[in-house]
Amino acid sequence: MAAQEIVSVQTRYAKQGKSLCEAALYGSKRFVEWQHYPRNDLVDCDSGYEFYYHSHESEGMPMGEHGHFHLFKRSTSAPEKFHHLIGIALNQQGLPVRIFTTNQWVTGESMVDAKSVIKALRGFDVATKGRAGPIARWVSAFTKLFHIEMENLIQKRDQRIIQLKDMMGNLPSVLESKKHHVITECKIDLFDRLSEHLSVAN
Amino acid sequence: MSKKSTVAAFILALSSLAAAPMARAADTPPATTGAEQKNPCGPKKDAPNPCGPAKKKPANPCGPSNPCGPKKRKASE
Repeated sequence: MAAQEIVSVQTRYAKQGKSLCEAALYGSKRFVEWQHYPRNDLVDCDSGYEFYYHSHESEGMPMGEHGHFHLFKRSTSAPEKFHHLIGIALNQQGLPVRIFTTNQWVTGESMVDAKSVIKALRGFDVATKGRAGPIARWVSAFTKLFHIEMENLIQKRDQRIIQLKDMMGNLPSVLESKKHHVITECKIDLFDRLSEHLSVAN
Repeated sequence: MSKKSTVAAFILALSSLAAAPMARAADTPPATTGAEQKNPCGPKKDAPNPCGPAKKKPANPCGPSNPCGPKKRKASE
């Protein structure tokens, strides 16, 4: 169960005095802007799913946010092609506080429609061992716990891109527009969601 | 323990955690506390190369590592 998995992973880290955002650095002494954690991303070659954690310059980060995960699905038949699934932002206590979609230029993805992104996101599961195992389980569980919000954001992403295309004249201009980094986003409350799910289970 | 108690225990466990330090620029030295700084309220330290060219940002700053590389990596970290 996704809610239980999230509680279990974060509680285990907390007992070691670690927040999820510290754990997502995999023991690195320094947290460097733009650097990927882990350095070569966490990749599940069998499924094509991958993700990493990072931060932008602190001036460019929303207030109170420490960094964020970017989740991807890479084509198993054409590995140079991938698409961005969702971004998950953590605050400095390691709590997820916001989810978001990005414009094409931000990740260099091969843009696909919302339906394809949602389908890929539903199957998100990165299986790995070692110190990254709990983080991978947390991220996978998180996509299940907030799948409705994520699906809404992805659908609205496409709608917003169509609106921008009408305003700007053509699609390439929108997808390359540096004025549009995040396309859609919403705040989330993990404790509320956990209470709902775990209460229903009672 | 009931499921509701599980959430309460979770909140309690997280409440004791300190805020994690924010990311720093690659060329920034490790953080020092206010007491360690010589001039905690002084002007900003000059950049090492104040007149150098602006750092070029990658075209896709949030893309995965080696997006066009062969699929070799294993989830083993």
